Amino acid sequence: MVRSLERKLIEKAAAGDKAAAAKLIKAHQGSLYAYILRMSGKPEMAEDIVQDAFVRVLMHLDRFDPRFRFSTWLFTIAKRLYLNANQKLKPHYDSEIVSSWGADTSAPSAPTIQDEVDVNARGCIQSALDALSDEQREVILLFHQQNWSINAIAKHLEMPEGTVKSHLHRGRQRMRRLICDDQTQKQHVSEVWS
Amino acid sequence: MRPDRSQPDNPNDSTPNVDSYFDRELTPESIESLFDSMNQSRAQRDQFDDTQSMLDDLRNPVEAPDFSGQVLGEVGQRRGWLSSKGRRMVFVGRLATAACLLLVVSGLLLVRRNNPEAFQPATTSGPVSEFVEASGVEAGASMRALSEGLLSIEEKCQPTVKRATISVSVCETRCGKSRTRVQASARQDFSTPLSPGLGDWLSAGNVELTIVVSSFASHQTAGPGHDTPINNWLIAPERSDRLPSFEASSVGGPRLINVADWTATGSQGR
Repeated sequence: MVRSLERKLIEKAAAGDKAAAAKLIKAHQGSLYAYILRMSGKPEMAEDIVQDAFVRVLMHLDRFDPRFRFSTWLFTIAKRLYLNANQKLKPHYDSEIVSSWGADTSAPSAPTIQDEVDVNARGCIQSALDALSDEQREVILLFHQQNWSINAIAKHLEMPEGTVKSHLHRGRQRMRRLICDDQTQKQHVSEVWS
Repeated sequence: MRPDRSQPDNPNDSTPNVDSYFDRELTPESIESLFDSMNQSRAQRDQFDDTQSMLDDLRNPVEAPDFSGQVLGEVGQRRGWLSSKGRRMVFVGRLATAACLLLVVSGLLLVRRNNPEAFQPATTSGPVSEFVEASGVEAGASMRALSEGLLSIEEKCQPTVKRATISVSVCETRCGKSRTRVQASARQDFSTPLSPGLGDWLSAGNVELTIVVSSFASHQTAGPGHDTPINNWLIAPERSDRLPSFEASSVGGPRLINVADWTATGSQGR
């Protein structure tokens, strides 16, 4: 969406124009949903977060700083909501023993049987994304899925551009490796069954 | 397991690597050079194809549900939406407020221009004792005003006949069935405000007037030159039938004026 048009829509929506607000939602809902869906891997969670993010944004349109992009603001709010939702979903351990057992996962990179099951259950891309660190996943999605610039991502994540690039390279390498491994494994399985 | 193909085959090769391409860092010339080198290096081409395929999958559009209905409904419940007419009214209201503010500021600036000292704080400071003394005086005055106010309220609440003194200047008098022009005004210390028409005021039936002749007004037609006895003056409202009598003071001393015996026309005022 052209920025000047977007700004007009924001002004109208802030003044109480329902049609302008609807246009804003329709312009951004696809990209935001795709981003949160890829971040979380859970469609229900993504729907809740996207809806909540739009409600919050529309309720506080008067606080929008027109120097920045609307999508940046929207994505920032959605990301905070995603982090909050993730925090709520984290399991809470009652005893120290269980807690220490849960924390003792020093080598999570090695694929396990559960990982394989997950790979088959969800899409290959989503599994590869899930295997990345939060920063790598977010950088990959913002750069390759949302077409943000390195500079914009650096500002959004409040980290140096070099760090963003580093996350981007490592994340991409790791994803590629995971996908290749998965394809090799599938190839072996098909060879056995054929 | 396939080998890691993220690095170019030859590290010393100056050909741009695949990652730079996907980082959108290559110029068109560099991209051409990369594609040329990929034609000669299978590993590099595989790396490119794998990455491109992966990113294509990542960019595949996701079918997103339409959130607009739910979101607009929720926002409408919390904040409400305005029709175009409502928005116009808000706009006009804001404009009017801005205009009022502008007027106020302009007015203040105008006053300041005409009287620059109006907004300047006092340049001299007095001792604390003066301040305390002034505060005491002000407090005393406030208390007096308060007590007077309370008294006046008390008076208003009492259904008694009210008395007032009106100073009267006789302007013109004639003997007998004469016409008299009288100007009456309420004294400053009379707390009950006089209504505009003396006749109306008297007709309320709860007010008794004491008429006092003060003096001849120099600018008026009556006076020593007219050779008219001052005690022949007359005052009565036009609708005198509602007024039984009222007491007046003249040079000859207080006397009761019976309205039935006198007629008068003329102007009366505060």
